[in-house]
Formats: sequence, C-alpha cells, structure tokens
Amino acid sequence: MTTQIETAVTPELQTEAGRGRLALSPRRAQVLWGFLFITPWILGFLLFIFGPMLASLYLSMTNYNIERPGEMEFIGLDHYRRMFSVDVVGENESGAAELRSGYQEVFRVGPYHFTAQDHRFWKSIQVTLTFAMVSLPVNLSLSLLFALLTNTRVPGVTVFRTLFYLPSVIPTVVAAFVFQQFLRTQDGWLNMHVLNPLGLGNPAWLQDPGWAIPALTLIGTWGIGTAMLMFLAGLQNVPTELYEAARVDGAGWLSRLRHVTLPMISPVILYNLVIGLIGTFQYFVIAYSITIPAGRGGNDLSMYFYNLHVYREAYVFFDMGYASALAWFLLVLVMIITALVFRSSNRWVFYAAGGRS
Amino acid sequence: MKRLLQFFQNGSNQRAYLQDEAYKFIGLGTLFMVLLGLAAVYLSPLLYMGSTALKSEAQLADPDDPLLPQSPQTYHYVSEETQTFRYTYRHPRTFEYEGRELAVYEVIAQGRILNYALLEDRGDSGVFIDPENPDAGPIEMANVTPSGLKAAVEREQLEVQLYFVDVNGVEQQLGLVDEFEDGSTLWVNPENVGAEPMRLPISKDDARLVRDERDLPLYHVPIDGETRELALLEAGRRSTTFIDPDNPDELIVVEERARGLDPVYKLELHPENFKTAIDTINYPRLFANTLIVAVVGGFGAMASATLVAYGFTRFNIPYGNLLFLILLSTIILPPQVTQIPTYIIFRKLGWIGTLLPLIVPFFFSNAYNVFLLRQYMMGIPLELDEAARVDGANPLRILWHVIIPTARPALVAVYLFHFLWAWNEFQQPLIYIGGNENNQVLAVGLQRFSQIYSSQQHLMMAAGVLTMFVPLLIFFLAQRIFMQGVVITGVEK
Repeated sequence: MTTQIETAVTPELQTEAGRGRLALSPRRAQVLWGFLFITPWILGFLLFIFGPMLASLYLSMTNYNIERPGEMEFIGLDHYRRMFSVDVVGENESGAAELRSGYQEVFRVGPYHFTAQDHRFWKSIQVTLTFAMVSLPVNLSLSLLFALLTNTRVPGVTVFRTLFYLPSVIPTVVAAFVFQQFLRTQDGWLNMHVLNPLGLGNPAWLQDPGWAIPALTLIGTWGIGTAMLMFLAGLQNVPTELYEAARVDGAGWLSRLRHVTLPMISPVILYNLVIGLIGTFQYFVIAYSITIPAGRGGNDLSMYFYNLHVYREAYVFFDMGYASALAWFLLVLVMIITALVFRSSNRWVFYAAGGRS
Repeated sequence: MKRLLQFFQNGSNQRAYLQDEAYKFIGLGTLFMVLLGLAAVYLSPLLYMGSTALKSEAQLADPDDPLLPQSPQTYHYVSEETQTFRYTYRHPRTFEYEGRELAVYEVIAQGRILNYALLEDRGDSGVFIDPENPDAGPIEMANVTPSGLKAAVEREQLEVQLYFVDVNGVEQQLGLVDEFEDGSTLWVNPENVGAEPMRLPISKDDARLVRDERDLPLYHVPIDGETRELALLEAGRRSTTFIDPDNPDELIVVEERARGLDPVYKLELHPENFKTAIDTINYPRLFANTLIVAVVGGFGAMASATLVAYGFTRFNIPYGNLLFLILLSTIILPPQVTQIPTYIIFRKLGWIGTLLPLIVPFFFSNAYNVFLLRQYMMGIPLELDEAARVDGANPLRILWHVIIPTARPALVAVYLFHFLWAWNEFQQPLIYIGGNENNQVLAVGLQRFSQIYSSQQHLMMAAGVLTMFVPLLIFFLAQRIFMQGVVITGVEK
C-alpha cells in the first residue's frame, strides 16, 4: 500500500521542488508527520541499539572494568587474541600432556588435548553448539508433530492445541525449578515413576555432565508452543487441492507428507530454525537457574552456555571490556550462521507463487 | 419400496461407505487417544507441580510417593480393656473399733513390737486396743503416749486404674488410689510411685479411663473375592488380625501376611502452603513490582509501536523501506552487544536497582511489535483515512479515530505479548535490579527462593503456581487474540 502512495506522490513532489516553494506543502507535511511518528523508534535505535553497539565495539578494545573505571586503557585486539589463544597438545610417552602456562583443557580427542587460554569461552561454544544440534531438530520435529496431529478433525482439537501451547506461557524460571525437581535422581517423578519401573535406570539428569544436554533438550520441549502455532498456520495455508491431487495419484500418508506438506511449509521450517538458532545463543534462564549453585554452569561446565559466559564476565567479574569482545564475537557468529542457513535455504525452501521473498 | 430395492442393489457400495466411515471413526478415536496420551506426558511436570504445591512435608517424605497429595488413612482404635498397674499403697494403719477410727502404733510390750490401736491418750499413759484381739478389752500402759510412738504403716497391694486427670489444666495419666467421702480422690503418678499420692478435689467421674488407643493403618484386604478396608491390629507371623472400622467389636483374622497389602490412601490437600510461600518470599512486594513493570512497560510498548507502525504504513518517509529493514534486522541482534554500554549508562544515571531500566526502554518501540502492527495496519483500507482527511482531520486525529479503533485486536495483542514477556523476563531484572530486594520482580525473587528452599519442594511449587497464575489467566482469557498474534508476527511476512 505504501507503493500506491508513492506513485501518486512523486510527480507532484518534483514540481513543487522545481517551484522552490518554502512554505510547508502537504507533501512535506506528510514527510514531517511520518518522521514525527517514527521518532520513538529512531531515538530508541540511536540510544539503545546503534550507540551502544559502537560503544561496546570500542569497549571491546579496552580493559574497562566498571569497578575501576579510572584504569581504562586502549588495548587494541588483545581481548580477541585472548579468546583465540588455543593450543593443541599431544601426550608424551608416559601419557601426560604438558599444557602451556595459563592454558586449560577444553576437550580431548584421543591423545590430543585441545587447550585454550579462556577455556570457558571454548567450552561455552562447545556446549551451545552441541545443544543447538541436539535440541533444534528435536524441537522442530516435535512441534511439527504436534501441529500435524492438531491439524485434524479429532474431537476437542482446540483444547489439545491449547494444552500443547500452555507450557510456553509458563515463566521460564518456574519451568526451570519444576524440572529441577521433576528430574531429581532418586525421587524425581521421571526416574521414580517412569524410568525406574521400566528398568531404564536412574540417570542423574542434572548432575551427570553426560546427561546435561539431554536434560536441557527435554526441558526445551516445553518452549515449542510458538513454533507449533507457526506450523499450524502454515499447514492450514496448504491448498487442499494439492492433497487431493496427491491422493488421486495414489500417494499414501507418508508420501503426501514428504512431497506436499513439507515443501509447502518449508518457509515456516526456515523461520522456526532461524528463530530457534537465535534463541539458542540467547539461552540463559534455564542454564542459569537449574544448577545448584545457580549461574556456575553445572558440573564440569556441562551447562555453561555462551550467554552465561558473557553474563559472568560482565556482571560477576565486571570485566566489561572482555565481555564486549565476547558479545561482538557472538554477533559475528550469529550473522555467519544465519547467513549460512539462509544460503542453504535456497536448496530446500520452496516458495509457492511469487518466487522467493 | 423402490428405495429399499435400490439399497439392496447398491449393497456393496453402502458397505464400502459404512466401512469408510468406520475406519474414519476408528482413526479419529485412535488419534484422540494418542493426543490424550501425548498431552498427559507433555504436561506431567505441571501435574507434578500442582500436586506438590498441595502436599505437606509428611506427604512428601512418604517413601511410596503417591502422585496426588494423599495420606495413608488410619482408624482410631480404642480397646475395650482399661489399663491398670500394681501399686503398693503405704499409709498409716487404722483400726475400726466401736464405730471409731483408731490410729495404730508400734508399741513395745513383752519384749516384742506389737501393733496396738490407740483408744485414749491420758497424758501420762495411753489406753490401747489390740486389733488382733479386740475382745480382750482396753489395755492401759503407763508412760506410753502417742508422742513417743511410731505410727504403724500399712502396705496395701493395689491394682490401680489409670485415668486421664486434669491437673491444673494439664492432662496427666494418674492411678486412682482411694476415694474419700467428701468427694475428693487420691491419685498416684505411675511414673513416680515413690512420691506421696496426691489428693485432688475431684471425683472419679471427672476423669476419663485410659484405654489402649492407637491409630491403626488401613489396608485394602481381599476377603472372599471382595476388597474391604480394614485396620491392621496385629501382624503375626502367619496370620494378621484386622478390625473392621464399621464393626469394631469383631476381630477379623486373615491367614495372610500384611506386607503385600495396599494401604488405603485418601486425598488430603494442604492449601496453607500458598500462605507460607507468600509470607516467606515477600510475595506482595515482588508481585507489585512485576505488575508495575508489566503494566507500564506494556503501555509503552503498545503506544510507541502504534506510532511507529502508523508512521511506516501511512507516510511516505524517505528511505522508509531501508529504515524498516534496519528495524527488522534488529531482531537477530544479540542483546548482549548493546547491553553492556546500556548498563553503564543506567549505572551513571543511578537507575541500577530501580524499576526504570525495565520500563523506560520499551517506550521506544521494538521490531516485533512494530512488525505486528504494521502487518495489521496495512490491512486497514486507505479509504477510511481519506474519508477522515476530507473531513479535515489531521494525522493524529486519523490515528486516534480511525486507525486505533480498527486495529484494536492487534494493539491488545502487542500489549499482552509485552505483559507476558515482562512477567517472565529474568535476565534483565537479574542484571539491572541486582541485589535491591525491595525492587525485585517475581522471576528473580522466585529463582533465589528456589535456590534457598530447594529442599522444600512444596513451598517452591506453591510459589511457582502463584507466579504463573497471572500469565495463565491472561492466556485463557485472551486465547484467540494471543494465538492469532503469534501467527501474524511469524508467518505472514
């Protein structure tokens, strides 16, 4: 609709400019009004987004500590150097690895020890990416499953939609401590009433580093309500003729899903994937509050997410310069990953009528 | 008739149709059951939460850990028999003689110690009666007076009945030793039989007999094909003795061991947990702070997004599309990038520890809200604006009288989104409010509470229920607006 106005307006604007009138013409008034209305956003953008972005870029090149503001010095790219100071150490004959001083191990592959100066930084990236790779596919498939199941004529379908969406309304903190108790090793409901009777053992969901990612993935399924609604809307937009045509061709349920439904809702999959990815890099509340003590990243840093690392550097140690560098690295990382996803989407996202948007 | 004929002719078709319908019915039925199961599994943590919030500490400690707040039931058993104990009652001996009660003394006579009852004290001599031989008549003994004699002691072996007795407002278990004619009674404490019995100005009828009273556990006992709820009185090695609460006089002996039986549970809710939780976490304060942040911030988010969306949809702003693209791209911007300088600014302004950082920034609109409102406003026909403009309305009046009334559902959606978001937000208050407990909001207050009280699950869950009450209420009341809003921001790009 904006384009409509544009075409109607442009010639007149030119003639007015040609006449060189200084008085406020209706067109100029329009522009002024428009800017007036978007002023809140422009101000907000400058004050809370653009300005702070530049400031944090600068801070990332200083040793600014909010507790000792007087000692601020420009240190160039030292922070970034510290982040990327990594070293791979092999084992000597007696099976011990000699780490460089100030370096700590992040993980090891066979006899090779991957060490880094800020091992927490690398650990947090490892945790965050592992979680993304496990949790995103689970969440996408589960939300799609819920959407498919509630896109039927089953009695009480709206009630089911509401029930599946319900956990998304529950405050994340509440979800965190409900699951903290629900997943207790000895007397948590999951172990005591489900896994134990089935003879599946007693995993220490939140204490055993090996179970940390599965536990968080399980908790993460409580946040798929929005993705489910997106899928549902996408499914309802698929023209029924397509299904009928497929049925005439003798396509079964599975092949209709594969050849009609999935391509038709692939834009929604892309959307949910991108939003999910961004969400993973913001993952904080549960990682912070589900461990005891809170905000330490769990045993062996198994729940030490990137956002938690930034938070600790900035607001626990007040090392705001280094935290800014971490934040800027995150921005670059998110942009690269998002770009990669969008680029790959050319191959698998199908836009019906109207090409790619 | 013709139709009937047709029906039979098309029999096979009809069957196929019916079969189809039946399959559809069975399919939907199965699907329904699948969905029901999925929902139950998916929401089981919620069930855990609600149930735990209503449990008492004793119920939580139950090793059987029933799913619902239930307690094992007991039967209050009162035995027929009363309780007695043996007591040696020592008291001065007396002898009844001609209607008088005489005190008995130990008198040395004929080289032996004899028990004589004193009949008369004459000052320098005493007149006695020999209780064993009263017919012998009074015996006068010179220089023997009661002051120089020892009273004879009687040791009475008694079987004393135990009573509950109210002694100065405290209920005690005492044994009844004697009753006196003036209505008072003599009592002994079974735990201190060496002490003098005490005389109390009450009658026996004021006290209650002590009986064997116990709370017996109730079990589901299968007897003769039916299951009865019986109280376990005595578990023997081979047989078990039960009492039927409905008929306590009769004992039921079952040739079976009690161990395998199911105890009887009854629902027993403890809503007082909510009160305890509210008092423990200073809930009213946290609630008020959260409400202020959500209500005022929601208004800011809605008002600013309305203005900005109106500006983008209805005015021909130079580079408008570019600006809008910038606006949208802020969606993927990680907030950490802007948060640190913003924190420093707020700190310089003295806003850390106040609610302002949680409210003020939302008066400058954000990408999601503007996008949602823009989508909605683009659907409002321009003719409506035109009509108002012809009537001489300026853009503000058009916004107020045309756009806002038409876009009301979207405005409400924006408001509710922000409200819920603010209600649930954790990281910002954690950073900006910090340690100022007075200005803390529910999410952070609750998290701290849960760290301190992680052993008291019932209080934590009660606090959690209290916290999610408001979001759930809003969700259920405004479900349609809400779900549509989610979809607008998401799909229709």
